Amino acid sequence: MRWGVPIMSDASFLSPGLFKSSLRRFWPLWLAGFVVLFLMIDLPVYAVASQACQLAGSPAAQASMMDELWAVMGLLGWLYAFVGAIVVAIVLNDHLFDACSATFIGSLPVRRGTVFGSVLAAGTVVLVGLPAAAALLMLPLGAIPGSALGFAAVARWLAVMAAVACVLYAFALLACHLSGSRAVALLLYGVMNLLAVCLEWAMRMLVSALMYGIDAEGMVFDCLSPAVWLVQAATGWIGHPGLSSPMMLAPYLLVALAVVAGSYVLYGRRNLETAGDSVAFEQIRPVLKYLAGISMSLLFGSLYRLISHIDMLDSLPMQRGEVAVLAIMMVVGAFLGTLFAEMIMSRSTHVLGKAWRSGLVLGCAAVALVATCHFDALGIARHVPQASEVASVQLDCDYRCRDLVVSSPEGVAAACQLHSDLVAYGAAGNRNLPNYEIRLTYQLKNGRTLVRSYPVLSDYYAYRAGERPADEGAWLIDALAVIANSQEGRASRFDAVFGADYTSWKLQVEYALGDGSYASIELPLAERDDFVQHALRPDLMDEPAGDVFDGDMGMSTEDYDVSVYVLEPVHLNTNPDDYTVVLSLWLSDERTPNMVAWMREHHPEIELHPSSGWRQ
Amino acid sequence: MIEVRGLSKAFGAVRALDGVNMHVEEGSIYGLVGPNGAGKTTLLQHVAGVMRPDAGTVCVGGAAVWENPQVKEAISYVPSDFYFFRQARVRDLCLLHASVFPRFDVQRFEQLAQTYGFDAQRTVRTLSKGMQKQLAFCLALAARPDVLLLDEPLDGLDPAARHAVLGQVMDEVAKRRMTVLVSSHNLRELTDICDHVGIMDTGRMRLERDLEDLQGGFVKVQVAFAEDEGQGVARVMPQLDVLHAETQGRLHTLVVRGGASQVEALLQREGAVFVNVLPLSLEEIFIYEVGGAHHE
Repeated sequence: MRWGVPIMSDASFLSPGLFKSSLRRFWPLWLAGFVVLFLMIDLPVYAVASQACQLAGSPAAQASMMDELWAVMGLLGWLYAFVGAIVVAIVLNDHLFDACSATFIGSLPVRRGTVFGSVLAAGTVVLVGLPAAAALLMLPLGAIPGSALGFAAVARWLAVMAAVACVLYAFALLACHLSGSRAVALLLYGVMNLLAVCLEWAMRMLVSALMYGIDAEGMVFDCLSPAVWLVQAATGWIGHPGLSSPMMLAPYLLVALAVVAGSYVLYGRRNLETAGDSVAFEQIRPVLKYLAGISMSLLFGSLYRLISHIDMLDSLPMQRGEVAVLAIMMVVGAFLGTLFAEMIMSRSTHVLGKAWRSGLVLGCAAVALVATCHFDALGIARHVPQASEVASVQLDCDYRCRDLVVSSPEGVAAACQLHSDLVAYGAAGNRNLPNYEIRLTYQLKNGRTLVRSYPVLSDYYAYRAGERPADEGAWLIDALAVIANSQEGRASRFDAVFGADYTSWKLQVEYALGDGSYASIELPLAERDDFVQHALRPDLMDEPAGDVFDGDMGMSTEDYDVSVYVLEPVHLNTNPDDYTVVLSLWLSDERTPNMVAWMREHHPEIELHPSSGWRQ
Repeated sequence: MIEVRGLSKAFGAVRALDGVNMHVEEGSIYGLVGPNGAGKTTLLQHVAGVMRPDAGTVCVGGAAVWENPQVKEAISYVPSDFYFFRQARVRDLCLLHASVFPRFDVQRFEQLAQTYGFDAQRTVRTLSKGMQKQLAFCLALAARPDVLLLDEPLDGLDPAARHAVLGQVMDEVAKRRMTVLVSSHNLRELTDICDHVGIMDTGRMRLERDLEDLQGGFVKVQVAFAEDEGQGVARVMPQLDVLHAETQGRLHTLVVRGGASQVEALLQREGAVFVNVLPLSLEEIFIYEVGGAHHE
């Protein structure tokens, strides 16, 4: 019987024996992880890449499809890394949770740093190695002509996944080192990631409910949530060809290194006998307790908002009575959160004496937060930027007015004035009226972005039709329409159409025949540019067809029963017949004189019958 | 060889060790005894370098143990619940220990494994608790330690295995002057192997002494006086360091701290008509010393 002896290493941060045993012990788990990764990533990539071959004649569509695919792959890869990181951290660090294992590891003739380094290395190898194996299986697809799946794309995916996995593994290690219980480690990891997402959501919702004009979608609390930040960065980066430099990985790796350094310091100070305890450091107790109190307080506030207000993100400010109930709910949540956290940490139900003080502190903080937001004590909601500090403003209002960007001094001044009027208006009035959401996104000259979103209560089209003589918020929509219908406003709104590459688009004309049936033709590629430059552009830029809020969203008897559709292909969907409508217009002598003239000249076969009446 | 000075350790509000001092000579077998919760395992874990002292020092061979791999290479620790990677094979454990303990002697392990009948390919989870304990001994002894720390080493072993294990330990002590620090509740077995004993209670070292001195320092004596009503024994009691006293009719049984000859001479001088000195076992010394009538 000869078993052989491995050669000892002098490396102080890596024990080859511990490293290898860590990798070997859990090989069935690693195999399962690879199978999941293969099913989740490789198989869909095979399927979509093979379908992309069918679009080989249209490189732009194919590239767009693959970009969207990689964004999805980025998200799925992040999910794998998110779950994998904590699983790997918990199984490889069993000595942090099990007293027998802690005794075994503690009695080995290695430094604490060596144990830390060996576990870190083993986990990193697993978390990077499995996606690497999955990526290797993708590479043969690159050999298929027209698959658009090259080595560079796979390498980029792998690099991002590896970086994300490293960061999440660092957070998972940190969570493990703070606790002696697997359940609490999972909870901490959740607190640092998933719970942070909920916190972010709850904070956005409550702030938008309490502060008029603060936009729920535009606020950035991503600093609270490493997971949110990572998933946005990962999916955004993969889909963004401009960020293909390997240097973009540096921020990820720096974050991972910083968190690992923190974990190392904690591990060195941690006593191994804390294996099995709820928390490894007494100092963590108040942090967990207060975090649970804050989370529960926000959760209760959000639940109240959910119950009292179905459309949670519409930014309509709360009434005074609602604010009082909200504050009470948040105080109750704060008390319950601290109580439950104390129960978990003390493993006892007799904790009221310990928890009431922190509950009281958080309750007072919740009331202060609600009052500060509701009365806008910091002046955030009332703040309107000076026109001189604004580079550009994007204005959006529901589906009627989108992608409107003004950057001229006049346009910016008009937008700032509209903003001031909205602040003064304060959404006062009849809440049963329809709600228009005017959203302003400022790009300031100092590089910052400022987003505000204001609900305006108005039955605008009834007012325009003369059915409502004085509508509460109609004058604000009129002011927005003036900006949107200016030359600058029109140019920006239609920039997506004018600047498009039409090779994969469709320009379709649908028209009524004399017998009541309809026919359609697709303008050939040779005619599209002429049509856009000499008919579509002049009508949208200079004629009423380019107006928004013109009072009539349907077809009237003055229109011809002929409509023009601008269609863009749906890239990720491999069905070549699926398109999305970018623009649709009915032809009329008054609203689209240039298009009518163009049709008469180039397609006399299209019959210009007057419409039979109004329809949408 | 092992020098513990002023060692203290607290777990929250509980003081597990409170200024413990201990000295273990090289090549000796030191028995650590004490009631449950006395702090024996905590002390062993400090000597093994598992725990970080709150205060005090733990040195082996003159060097501090904590975070000192060079010192820990010479220490093998067999806790009462030895940790195994349960899905690992015997061979895997041998390779792991060989890769971590520089002195690990694979040939020695092979010999020991053969003695106990271990198959290298057998997985640890298929071994009984007693066999796992034997495997722990094999791994510990194959590391060729200068210091062997044993916590309840004989629990779960059958008599033959106990004999074999103790034989192996004694053999190593005799051949290599290995130092053994053993904690056990089985005081009869400790009496057979130990040459030094330390008695712990409530986190403190109550006494530590050579076993023969310890046993010579306590006597159990049966005594009868001519007086009927206990006046005789009442007269001698203040002159003796009595740990325990019992009376059956005119016969008094006393457990006394002190030498047998001095106690006997005193009793006879005070008019005892019958004196019978009995040997005291380590178990009895332990029970009386820790003040534990409730241990009986």
